[in-house]
Amino acid sequence: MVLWTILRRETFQLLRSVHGLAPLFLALAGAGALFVLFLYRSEGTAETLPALWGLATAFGLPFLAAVAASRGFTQDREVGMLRLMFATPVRARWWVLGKVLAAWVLCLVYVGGMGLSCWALVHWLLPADAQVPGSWVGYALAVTALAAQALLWCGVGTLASLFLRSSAATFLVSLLVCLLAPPLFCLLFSAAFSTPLTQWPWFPLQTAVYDCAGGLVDVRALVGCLTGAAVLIYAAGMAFDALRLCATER
Amino acid sequence: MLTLNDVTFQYAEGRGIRGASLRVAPGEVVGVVGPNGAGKSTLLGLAAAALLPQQGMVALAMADLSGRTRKYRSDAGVGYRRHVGYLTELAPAYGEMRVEAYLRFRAKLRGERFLRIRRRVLEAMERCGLLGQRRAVIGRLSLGLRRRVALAEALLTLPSVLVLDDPFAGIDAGMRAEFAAMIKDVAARAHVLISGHDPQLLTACCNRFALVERGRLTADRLDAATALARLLPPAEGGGKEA
Repeated sequence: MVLWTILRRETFQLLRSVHGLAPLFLALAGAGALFVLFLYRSEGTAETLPALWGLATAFGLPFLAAVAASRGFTQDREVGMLRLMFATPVRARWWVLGKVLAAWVLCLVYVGGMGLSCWALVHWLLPADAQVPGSWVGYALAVTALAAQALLWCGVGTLASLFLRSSAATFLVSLLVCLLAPPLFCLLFSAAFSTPLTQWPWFPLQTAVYDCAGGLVDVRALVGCLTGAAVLIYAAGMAFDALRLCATER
Repeated sequence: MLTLNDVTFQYAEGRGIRGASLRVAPGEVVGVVGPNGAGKSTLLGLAAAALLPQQGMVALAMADLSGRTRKYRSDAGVGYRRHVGYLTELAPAYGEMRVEAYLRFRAKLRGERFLRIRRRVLEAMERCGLLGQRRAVIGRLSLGLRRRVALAEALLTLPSVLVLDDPFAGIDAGMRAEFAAMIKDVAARAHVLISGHDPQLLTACCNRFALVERGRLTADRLDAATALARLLPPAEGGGKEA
């Protein structure tokens, strides 16, 4: 009940604050459609469409997650709401989960929107005999992989928003972490176990692209994302409680 | 009985409150006065359980807020905060929400029973003169009206601990008298702590005054005249009389 109350408010607030970006998204989708159409006419095949979709979605996701999650607690701190949240009989985990899931819902709307634009491209722009690789299961798995990544990025942004005082700084820090942490982690992992993990250093982008192409899901990446998100959400709950002891909201 | 026993809370830069002890009985309204930066808001934050004491104890009835483990503090804190109404000095509210929707949202978070929410919200809006503004967007209200919304939020669940940080700031003289009467009405069954800079403004609703100076609670049973005399700088010639 409490989680639903927080999630609903945060989601509506986030959607309201980014609804101005809808025309931009539509314009980009239109430009993408033209690009695909010209590509099909020049090459005579739609083989690259799923890979392009995966790449575009996966590239946009860390940015959107950082934007959405950076508003989290930073905005509450800016308007003085954090002190009131501390005095509310709601456990830290519900505040954190509400913020993370609201940002995640926005990311899912983006992934869904990209999927819809891809579907519209295939059905309306390309000829009926155009062969598009990959199956629906592959797309569903790709969306799952992207959703798991988005949850991780939203956790990063929300945790950062607990400590930083401006939305811009939170956005920058969470974006850098989202972009740099996976390759660094994989390089360290590869160095420690002397196993070259060629796919991992780029997993935020590659899983999506590979998934789209053939329904291939890297289970390690999925598990890593979900475990990382759980750890981050737990850590953010601890940090929220700890802030009551040092009151950095002032 | 609301008890703050030897509580200490210091910020990184050294300000805050040290070794403060205060007891507030049910039905009592205590005005916490002092100069800017003396530690009044910190003391009130501790009483509202928005802050946890780094040392000392905060307790309502026999329930102590400060415990050794995080889980204990979390559980005790949730139980304690159910009884607290808190108006912070910035009187924050979500600017994009409408008054009634915001109060309903806060009532749900404060654990009010589902069937009582509508009644509580209407009562709080009526008390604070907000019935005519129930559909207004909070961000478009004047500062005074926004403070009324924040006060209505503090009074929502008929709290047994009411903590009001500078409630009369930005409120016109007519509304101030209404606020004072409302606080006295609520105080009949609550422990009330109110902060401010001028004891004369608080006399209409306070039974006694506590004085905070440079992070210390130096007195807690003053009348308005004595508190004012202690707050004013000594007259030329070294006298302390106001």
